[in-house]
Amino acid sequence: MMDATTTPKLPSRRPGLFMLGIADLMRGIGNWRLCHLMGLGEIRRRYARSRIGQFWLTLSTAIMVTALGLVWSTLWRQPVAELMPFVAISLISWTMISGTLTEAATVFASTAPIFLNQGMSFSAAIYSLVYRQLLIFLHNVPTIVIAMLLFSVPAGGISLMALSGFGLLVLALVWTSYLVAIACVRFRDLTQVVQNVLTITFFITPILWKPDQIPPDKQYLLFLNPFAALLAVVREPLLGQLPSIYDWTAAAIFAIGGFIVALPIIGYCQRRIIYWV
Amino acid sequence: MLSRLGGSLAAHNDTVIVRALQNISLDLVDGDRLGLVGANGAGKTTFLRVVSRVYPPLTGEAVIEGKVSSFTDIGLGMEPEATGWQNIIFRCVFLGLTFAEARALAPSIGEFCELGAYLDLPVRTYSTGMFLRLAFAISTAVQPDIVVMDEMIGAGDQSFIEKAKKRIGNLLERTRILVLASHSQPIIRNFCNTVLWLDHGKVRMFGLVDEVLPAYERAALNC
Repeated sequence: MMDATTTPKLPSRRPGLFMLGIADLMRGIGNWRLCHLMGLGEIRRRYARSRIGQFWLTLSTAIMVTALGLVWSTLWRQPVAELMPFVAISLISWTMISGTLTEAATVFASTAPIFLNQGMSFSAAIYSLVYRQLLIFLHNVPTIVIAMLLFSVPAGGISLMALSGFGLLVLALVWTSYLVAIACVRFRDLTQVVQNVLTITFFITPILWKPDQIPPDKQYLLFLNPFAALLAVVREPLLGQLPSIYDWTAAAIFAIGGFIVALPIIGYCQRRIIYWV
Repeated sequence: MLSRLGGSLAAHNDTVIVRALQNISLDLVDGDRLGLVGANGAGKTTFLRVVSRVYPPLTGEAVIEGKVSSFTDIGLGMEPEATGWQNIIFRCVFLGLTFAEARALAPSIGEFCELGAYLDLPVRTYSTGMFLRLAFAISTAVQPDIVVMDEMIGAGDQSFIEKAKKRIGNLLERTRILVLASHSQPIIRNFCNTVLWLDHGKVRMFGLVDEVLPAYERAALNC
């Protein structure tokens, strides 16, 4: 039974980091049942024993959107009918981005007991996190729809393009939150850094103000901000406008091309994360 | 730095590294029941986690074939706000079943734990003992290939304890490989046929129960 004399056989050829990263993401998908339970569980815990439960999500966002839409349209001297739908879509999409990345910073630490008990790909924690934020987003869709109807936004067939924009946003969140989670579990100080970066990003991204309010010589600031493009490809179709080619390209490159950068890092770290939690 | 407990400590640049296990080489096959003994920090739990595929070895290789159930945290995946029935489903899915399989298994688990109408209530209303009964009943309902345990599990009051013992005994008999860490020698003797004695993360002795346990006991008395 004990075999101390023979040297262990080393695998002849080890798969590259890129393939290891893909394999890791696939193993997480194989655990979709757990992702589903872990995603729902957090929402259940948060709103248990509350009379209207998770509809607090809908209500608080609606209040937030109304208040900010009114205040900022007054401050910017812009018609409420124009700014309110803009703010509703941008703010709700941004809430999903910042919610995902904020939680990503602590997700491995908070799900550690599960991963210390059974061997599983950490991508499962990422999927459950993105899934949960997706569910929260769905609770806020009525607010977007009401804002669009109330201010008779000229939405039409073109608005369906928002779905592919939203798809890009979700893809981008998968790899960004995985990288954030890995970085933050290895270097705990980064958790605070992520918070601060998100706060700043909120102000420099067109959420409460419109892109055309930036002077032409400062427009490059928007071009450097991938979140501006991701928000644009979700928002513009819903407002009845075509997003610019630039926004589509930037969003697609960030969302899909990002995986090319992220996969080798995931492949390298996937076996080590458990030693860092 | 020397310590009577724990794995070996090494300095790497400015970081202290705990080498929890090193130079472990062994094969376990169907029918093997391995008991793990050793002082606190000898590497027993780390070894269990290697078998559970939690810790991939950083040097060397660990090939584990088959479905592993780790009984180190039998309440894992259970939610205080959900009902007993819901928790049966959750926990079964955590153990690797599909939702349909979990639903099919639920009635027998509900019957075994004897919680009756309480299964319709949120688990937070249960006493600690009732919660343990439920966690135990679910965890032992799914038959894995490999069972990993940190100390023997059990649950319940006087009447339930015997029932639980029989159930875990049956499960351990049917499982193909058992790895059980315990500080109780009677339990090791009862369930295991081989023993691995770990000391500072290394193999101190590996062999049949009757060879290793007496040596381990002598060493424990001497120090």
